[in-house]
Amino acid sequence: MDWKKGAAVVASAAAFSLVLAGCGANSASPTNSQNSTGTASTGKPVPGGNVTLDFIQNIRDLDPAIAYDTQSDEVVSQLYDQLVTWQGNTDNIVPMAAKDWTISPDGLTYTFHLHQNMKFWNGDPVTAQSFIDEFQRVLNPNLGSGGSGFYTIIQGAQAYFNKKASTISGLSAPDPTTLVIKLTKPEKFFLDTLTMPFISAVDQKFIDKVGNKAFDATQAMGSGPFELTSSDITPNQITLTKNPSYWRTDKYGNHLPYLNKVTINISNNDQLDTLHFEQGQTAWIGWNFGGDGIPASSYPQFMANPKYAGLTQSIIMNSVQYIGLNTTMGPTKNPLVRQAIEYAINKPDILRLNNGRGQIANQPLPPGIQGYVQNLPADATYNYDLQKAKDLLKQANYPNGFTIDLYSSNDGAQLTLDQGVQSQLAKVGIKVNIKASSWGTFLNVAEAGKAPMDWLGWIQDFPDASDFLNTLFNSNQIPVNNNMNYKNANVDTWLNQAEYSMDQQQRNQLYGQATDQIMKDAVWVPIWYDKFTAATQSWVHGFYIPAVGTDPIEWVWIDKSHQ
Amino acid sequence: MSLSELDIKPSQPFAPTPMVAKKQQLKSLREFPMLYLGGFIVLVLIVVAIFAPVLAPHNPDAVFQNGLNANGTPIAPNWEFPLGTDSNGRDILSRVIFGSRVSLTVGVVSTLINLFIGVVVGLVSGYFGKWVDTVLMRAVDTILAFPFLLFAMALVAVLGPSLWNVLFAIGILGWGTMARVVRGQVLSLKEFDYVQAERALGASHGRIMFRIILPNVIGPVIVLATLNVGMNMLTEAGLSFLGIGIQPPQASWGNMIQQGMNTYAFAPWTLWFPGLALVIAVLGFNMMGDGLRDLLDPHNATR
Amino acid sequence: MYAYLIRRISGAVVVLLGISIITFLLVYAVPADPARMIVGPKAPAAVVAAVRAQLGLNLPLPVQYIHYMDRLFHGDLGTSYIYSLPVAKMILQRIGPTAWLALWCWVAELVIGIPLGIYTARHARHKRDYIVSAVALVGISLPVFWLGLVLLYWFGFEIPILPLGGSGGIQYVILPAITYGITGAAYYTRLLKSSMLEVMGQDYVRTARAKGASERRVTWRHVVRNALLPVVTFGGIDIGYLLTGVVLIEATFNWNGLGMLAYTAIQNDDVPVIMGTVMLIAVGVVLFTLLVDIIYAAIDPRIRYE
Repeated sequence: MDWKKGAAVVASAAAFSLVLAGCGANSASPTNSQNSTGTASTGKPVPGGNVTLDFIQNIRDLDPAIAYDTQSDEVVSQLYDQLVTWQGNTDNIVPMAAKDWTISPDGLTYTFHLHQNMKFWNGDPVTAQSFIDEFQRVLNPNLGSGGSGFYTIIQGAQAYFNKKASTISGLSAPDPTTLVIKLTKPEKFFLDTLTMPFISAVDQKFIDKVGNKAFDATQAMGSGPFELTSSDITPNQITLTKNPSYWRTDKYGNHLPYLNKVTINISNNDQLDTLHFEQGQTAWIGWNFGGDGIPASSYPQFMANPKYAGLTQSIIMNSVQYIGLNTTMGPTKNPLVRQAIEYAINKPDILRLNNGRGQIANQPLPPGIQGYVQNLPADATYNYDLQKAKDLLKQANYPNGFTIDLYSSNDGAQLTLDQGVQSQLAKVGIKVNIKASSWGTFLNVAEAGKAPMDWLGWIQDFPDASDFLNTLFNSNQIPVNNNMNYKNANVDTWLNQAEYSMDQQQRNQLYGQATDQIMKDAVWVPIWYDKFTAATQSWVHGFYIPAVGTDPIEWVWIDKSHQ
Repeated sequence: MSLSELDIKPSQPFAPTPMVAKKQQLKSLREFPMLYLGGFIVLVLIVVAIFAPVLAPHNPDAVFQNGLNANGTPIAPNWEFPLGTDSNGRDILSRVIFGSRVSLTVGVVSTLINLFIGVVVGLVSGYFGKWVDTVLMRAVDTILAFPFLLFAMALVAVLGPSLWNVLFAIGILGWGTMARVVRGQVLSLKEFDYVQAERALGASHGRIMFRIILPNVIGPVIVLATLNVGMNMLTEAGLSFLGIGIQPPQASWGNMIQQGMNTYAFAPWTLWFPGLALVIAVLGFNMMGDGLRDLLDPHNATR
Repeated sequence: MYAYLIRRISGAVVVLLGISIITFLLVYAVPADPARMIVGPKAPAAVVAAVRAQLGLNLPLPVQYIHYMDRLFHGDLGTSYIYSLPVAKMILQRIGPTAWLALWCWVAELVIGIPLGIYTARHARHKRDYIVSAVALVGISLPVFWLGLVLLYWFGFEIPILPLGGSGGIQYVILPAITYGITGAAYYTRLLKSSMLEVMGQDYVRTARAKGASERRVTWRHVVRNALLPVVTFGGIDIGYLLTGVVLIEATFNWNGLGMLAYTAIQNDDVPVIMGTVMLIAVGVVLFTLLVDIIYAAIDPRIRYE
């Protein structure tokens, strides 16, 4: 689960801070549209050919244990294999390196059976141990993996993490193709966490040879659809080459991937990158552009031109943009003030500043995730109403408003949104000072729980309500993730219960209760769920916006005439 | 590109000029159209800045319901919004008018800071010479060798982006050239007879530096300062472009350009007008500076 | 001469030490946690703490500085927090592209600036002088990124004859160089004009004229030649300064060079990279200035005793 960077747009000049990982959308989402001239085209895939892509940011990490931003994940997920993955653009989990698996009735023991004959590019075999090695790397605090928190539920993982044990007792490989994982508690979404590139098959022998630093920077050794050698990496360009002996096949029996070569140009200016696409130089605009696909700066012009608009597809993602209201400091300590702000924000007007790229939000959970509340109770629903806002402020003893600081990152597009909020709150007498700064400086304040008000976005790592509600509102997450310092004993109880329940029905109900309470308490002003818009050239096929994860490069094929 | 002492060099050293001679020069202002035009632009700029609330048709920070098209794009220039609207739906003309205040403040105040530090360092360094000079000139070398924009970025990142911090960052980093120019002038002035005479008569160091020498280095300093104002306005815009300039909603031409770059392709007026305002203002100061230099240039007197 | 050299070089060393200390202090004053930036927001506190300890971020600042300088003198610029690459390697990969870009930017300034300088000097105090000077001044008054973006849009997209940004060979250099040339040429124009006017007043020029040499010959043989010296000097210093200003051009044109590296590093609190690039650029500036000073001193012995 990660912060989605502000407006999720990287302004042309400030294109550098990280766009963090995760992603997603739900295929069942009503706004999911696939354009007829887009990539829904059917037909038998033709292997071969090369494509060129622009990346708006350099690759930070090649080590799957460390990579945690979209740009890195876009490449890393093509280099490495995970146990399980998502089926197409759905949120169904399907086999990958594990051809099948069983879960014990108590939900504590997972047994995976791996495919035979999987090999790393250097010929070394992929075995159950290749995954155990990676668990140990992720859970080694010295490596600095941002994903370690997902796997401490494994037996012995905490002890290993604290360096009180030299191995993880809950992991075993009875034979080279069987992997057994034992958990300390049942966790409904444990399989979801295994789809992330953190848990990829790695070749420990190779890593020992080159060292962890090089393995993260220049030396990849995976078993995935594309290969990368150190000579393929320059400051301007990264070249992925087809792994000729990759084991996965499509329904026609073709071995993946279809493309022979993917040339990635590092080009930090997303406006120019969009123009490259319009000139036909690059194959698609997707996660390679970060945040929301087609960047805000180019979106209106792009969509106004039927020639380009016809090449797009879009989905509503499992991510939410919101204004957090600090529950322990300043005027927003008072719930009445927070409710006043809920009523004073005109969400459609703010969404308009984002070129309408989103769906108005009324609660933290996006509609694509189970647990989303279809009909919120009246006292947890806020419709734009200036009079009500003013009345509430009067009741709270702020008849003339007050002054408050709004913290955010300082991307060009984010500032536009901040100013929208500023001018709206001015109408009820609240004077907003915008404190925008670079991403790191902003997080430093926000994650200390010291921002009276901030604008943040949150994006799934995997489509489970826990990834949103438990992480962002449980009082045990104060102040880093629950940085509005929200503490409600009932909400904590419900969230903790749902976290370890295996009964989805019950979980949905608990999350619904928590959502109602959180909205009654007006901790957040949820603004919108992001809309992701991708564009593909007419000669590109097989591309889809995945519900979870990055672009499906291994499934893309191109017209024979373009090869 | 930064200012250099070579912007001044051709005319140095300035000999101390009796006041009478300056009056005569004033008459010949017509010979210096650059000075006239530049001065006129600067004057207009100052008037606009002072009377911004009277001149602006709208509140510069007001977001207009009818300020955006249905698809969220800015509105092209029309009767209500003579220069169109920006991507927030605000009136660009009003923002350009109010932006003059910020740009002018940044340009002038940061130059005053440059001026103050530069003149003091230059005077002391040139006057006392020896180790004082060595130490201060190393400091000047240091400040001049810094990658200016990167350093300003880091400084603003530490202090937080606000008008005064941007001003401060530009002010505190941009005085090196000024110090060198003043020092050069002082070195040559020190040798003039009447300075030596004052010294012999027992005048204090402070008196000689500030009462005798300073008035005579003022010419090149004014030229450099005028050019510096325009340069600092550009620097502010550059910082805004890199995302660390004046924070909205306060309109500065720099942050308006930065915002306009995102909408340039389909709403070019969002980039053109603030850019044009900035160019004209900077041009005004540059022309004025060039004109002043020509005016004060001893070669002009002899030709 | 040797005494002068030693004095200048030791001065340069002092300057570089000063720069290293100030940069170090400044970078550490940025209110963001590099360890947190490396591991991402979701990492458990223990991971952040472990990374912080590994990087030596818990040590007192002076100790960190001494460690840094110690490694620096052993030729180790450290490893990028974000990209896990040796900083020296990252810089080496980008020195070439930045030097290449800077060279052409400089050439463009000269190519535009010098002819205008000669023209305005020859027509000094005529209408033509004022018009050309004013045009050159418009050039300096343009924000480089603003002009760059407009040129990119028109010549990269609407009339696609040049690449839309990116780093590479000569076709990628044309637009940035023209942009920089336009915004910088006036400095050379101004300088050359003053210098030529000064030379024109010299006796040997008057003599040449009196001897009946053609105006063209006087201008080219006597005036321009002699007036170019300050221009060359300024050019040397200017190349140094160009390195410090290159970040704007690189950011506008998507050029993957030193400026962008430093800029990204500042955004990401990537301390070793910030230190490495700032120091390198500073060394560049100091070296060019030193070189110019030494050449000057070699030509004009009086300077050594100043």
